[in-house]
Amino acid sequence: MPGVNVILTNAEGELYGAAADTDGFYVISRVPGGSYQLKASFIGFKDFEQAVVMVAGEIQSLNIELVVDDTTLGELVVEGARETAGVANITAGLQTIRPADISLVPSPDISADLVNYLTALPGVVSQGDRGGQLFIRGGEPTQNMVLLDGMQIFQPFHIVGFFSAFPSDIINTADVYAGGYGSKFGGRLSSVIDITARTGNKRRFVGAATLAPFVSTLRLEGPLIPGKVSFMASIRESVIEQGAAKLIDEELPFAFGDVFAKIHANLGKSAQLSISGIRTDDQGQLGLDPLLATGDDYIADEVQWESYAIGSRLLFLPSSLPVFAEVLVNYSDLKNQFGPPLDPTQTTNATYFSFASNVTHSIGTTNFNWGLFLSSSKLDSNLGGLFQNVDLKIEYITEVGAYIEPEFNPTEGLSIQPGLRLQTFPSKSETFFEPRFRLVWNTGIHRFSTAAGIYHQEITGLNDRRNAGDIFTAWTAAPSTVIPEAKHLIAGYRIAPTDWLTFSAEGFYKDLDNLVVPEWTAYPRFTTNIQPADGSAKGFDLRLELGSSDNFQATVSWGRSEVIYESTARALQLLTGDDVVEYNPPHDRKDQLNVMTSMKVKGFNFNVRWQMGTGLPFNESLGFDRWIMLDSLVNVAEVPGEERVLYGRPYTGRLPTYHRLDVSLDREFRVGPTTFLTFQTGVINAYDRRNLFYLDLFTLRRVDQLPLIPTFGLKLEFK
Amino acid sequence: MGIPFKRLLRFLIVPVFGVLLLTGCEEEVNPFVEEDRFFTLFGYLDTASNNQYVRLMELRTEFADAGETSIDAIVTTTEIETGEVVAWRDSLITFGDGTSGHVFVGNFQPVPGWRYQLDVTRSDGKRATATTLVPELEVVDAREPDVGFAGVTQKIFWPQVDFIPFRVEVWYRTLDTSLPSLPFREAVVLYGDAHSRVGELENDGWEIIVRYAEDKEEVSKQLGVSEGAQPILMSMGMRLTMTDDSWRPPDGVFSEEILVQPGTFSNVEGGFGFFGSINQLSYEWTLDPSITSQAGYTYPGGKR
Repeated sequence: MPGVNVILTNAEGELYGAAADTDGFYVISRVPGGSYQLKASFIGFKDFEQAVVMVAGEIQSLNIELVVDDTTLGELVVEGARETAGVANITAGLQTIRPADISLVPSPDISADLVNYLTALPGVVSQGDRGGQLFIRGGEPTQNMVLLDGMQIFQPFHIVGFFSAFPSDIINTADVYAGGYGSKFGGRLSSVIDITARTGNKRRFVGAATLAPFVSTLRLEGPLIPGKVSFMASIRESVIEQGAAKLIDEELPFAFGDVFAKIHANLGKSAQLSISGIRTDDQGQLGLDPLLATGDDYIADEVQWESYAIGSRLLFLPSSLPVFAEVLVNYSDLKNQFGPPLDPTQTTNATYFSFASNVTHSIGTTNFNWGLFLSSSKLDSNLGGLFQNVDLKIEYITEVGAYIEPEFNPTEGLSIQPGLRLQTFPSKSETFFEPRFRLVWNTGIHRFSTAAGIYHQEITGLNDRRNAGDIFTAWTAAPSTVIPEAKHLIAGYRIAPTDWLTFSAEGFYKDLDNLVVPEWTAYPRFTTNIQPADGSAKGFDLRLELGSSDNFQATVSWGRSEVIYESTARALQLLTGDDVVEYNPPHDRKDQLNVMTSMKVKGFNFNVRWQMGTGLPFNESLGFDRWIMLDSLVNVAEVPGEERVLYGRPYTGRLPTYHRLDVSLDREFRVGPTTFLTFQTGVINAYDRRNLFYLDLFTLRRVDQLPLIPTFGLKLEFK
Repeated sequence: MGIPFKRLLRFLIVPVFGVLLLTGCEEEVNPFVEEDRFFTLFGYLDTASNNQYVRLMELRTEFADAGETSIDAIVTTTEIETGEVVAWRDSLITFGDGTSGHVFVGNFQPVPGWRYQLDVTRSDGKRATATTLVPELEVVDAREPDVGFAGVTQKIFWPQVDFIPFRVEVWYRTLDTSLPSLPFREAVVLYGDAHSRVGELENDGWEIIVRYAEDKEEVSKQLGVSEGAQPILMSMGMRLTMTDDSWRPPDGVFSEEILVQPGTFSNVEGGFGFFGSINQLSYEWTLDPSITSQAGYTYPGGKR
């Protein structure tokens, strides 16, 4: 159980303590010999207390089993510390999210979803409520690494933007590194979302089933060997066409689903083994091909993807050594296709196998973290001519490497983590040294933090951001001369002057080199060349959090940022007259404001979220004409010419501001000793804002995000 | 919660709703930039023709070309040197791909060295305009022929030509006494083609090498004689179809991906596209007896 506080107190009143990590392990170091009272506490559980005698120079291990405090169940409201991690609790780009945080966000599904919380964070830009594309502090979706129990999930967000592959019910914690992540992670330019799934109940069978207009879910967990081995399984299937589409009388041609399962075993006192697996599938139609979209018999292109992953994680905490170690073996697979439903023109298949070991030695106040990793990828894509200068073939990429990242704690509250990651790609004769740095200083009510690092991305995703309706991503190895590289710098400050007020401010800068972007062309076609570009993302966010209990919480966050791409493509140079052409890519949202409140009144949970984002860039034009290439004695009376879009500079237009209000109300009723029924009702887009998802410049066809949708849900849960 | 908390709540509510009001209710988006440009035109003046053609399009805000049957435009050219104005007439053409478009025709023959201004005027007075200076020949230098393993070659240097000609032709004027009514016959050899140009920039001029031996097969074929025959060569000539000075693509390369960018290769004010001019630049020379013989021909008056 993560987050449990374990405290040793001696007769003199001296305290030593630690909080259990995501695996439930805790280490309290530098404890002088003597008698102590050990106390472990966590909300919802009875305190555990035991006298212990520590002998100098010896290591002791103690497994603690907390017992559920029944007074927290039922309709009793227990005042106490909240379970949320909090929006303002950000430390040098790292935000930890717990299921309780996610439950604060109004959602169209009674079983909340991680992505709803992510999109409430400043610096996270969503393409809209469809498409499943998240941009984190200037990074593109393919530059985000998403891990579930160590398994890499290539396309983790469902096609409907309210859902990810991670329902709140299966999540233990999610660590979101919006940048500046440590040496343990590599291979992505922008961010890491490291999710740890819960382990199943080892004592009794519990579960839940939900019904809502978007998805239906079923979760079951329980002991396989009581007290030792448990399982948890979750399945979700969309019911949009039968539910939400009928509610708003609008075609919503989307379908998705996911299945997750985890087996967890305690292998004695000092070892745990878990095996996790996930499968997701999505399909839907997001836009129209303007060159073909005429006539009643036109069939819109469909995007479809299917991913699965399986992995194991073995943890060691030897009772005789101050060492924590984990070994991870994972396999991931993604199939993605785009085009006519039965005859896709673009396909990609990425498979990824990885082995990693992470070790921590605790010596005094220093934790020496180090690790080894090995991975092998197979990438096979067919672009159907989308990028004319890209000739993809089946590629095999092997990566081996190691990292070291000691964590020094020279004084109380100060943590310094320099790191170095070495990555080599033998098949491509490439080696990268990536220095990393992280510093956190807690002093009284203040916390100062900073992080920096250099990152490379050998396996990159190619996609065509010119067309919002095409979210197909081809995974391929970056050309050896232009490996995408990023340099991050983050600095933050957090203050918690009272128990009901927390404020944080954080600034970031990402320098981006060798990005791969579609070439600029005035041809209204969906094939083009790709070209390199450099860029940067910079900004800051302010977060204010009020409230200290489950009865009331409110957060206000504002993010301001700017993403700039720089291109030296000749066509753009000539178009603009600039040697280096700067433009804001289509995910550059300048300002984001999120306001969330959550109140509990007489057993009712009332959640409100209002979010606002300034408009995203799009390409304006002067209109359309036909173009004739006068490179010879062309007879202009005979040549029809080719259709052309009269673009100006790239992405100079801005779509209208996005804003939306979501509201939900739910209440849980106890219908049996361990059986609970929850009703939820709510409204998504409460004032029916016409938020634009996609404007087709050619047909002037407008695709809006979802209108006002009343939602309701029912959840039957056996706890 | 004490008073500070309530104060703080009030402090937050005001700016939040302020932002909501400021963001406004704007839901519509106009994807088009309003600019003072209304036409696209493509065409050129040709000194070899009495009819000139320009393709004219109004800028559209609908992607699908509706094939408008009328166009609100009056097209004229003005000879800058004389001030004479020529009105062009509109004709609606149906192209091979089924689409249609407006091609304006001007009935006149442009004069080398003269400047012409094309004006396209809408009924509300909005105008697009472009000018072109028709190229003319001034000096040509035929260098001394070289005799080598490849046979006889000769460099022809065009000092005022700074760019690849659209077309290069070399003609051989021969005398055939067997046809008294048509004693002079010409064989014209095309050097390169539309996509394979010849010559190179040399000392700010254009240098083209005439390869007599390579041309001989084509000349014989056109004259209807065997390759071993030695026709009487009266004179030689070279003709360049040359564009005006503004007809120069960026970086000297006609790259479709680059030139398609709006405004990248355009001399039209108040619009898009290009309006140029071409001229056929010709130069004639003779070979001396020995070179004529080595080139595989007979010098006039010489023995076959």
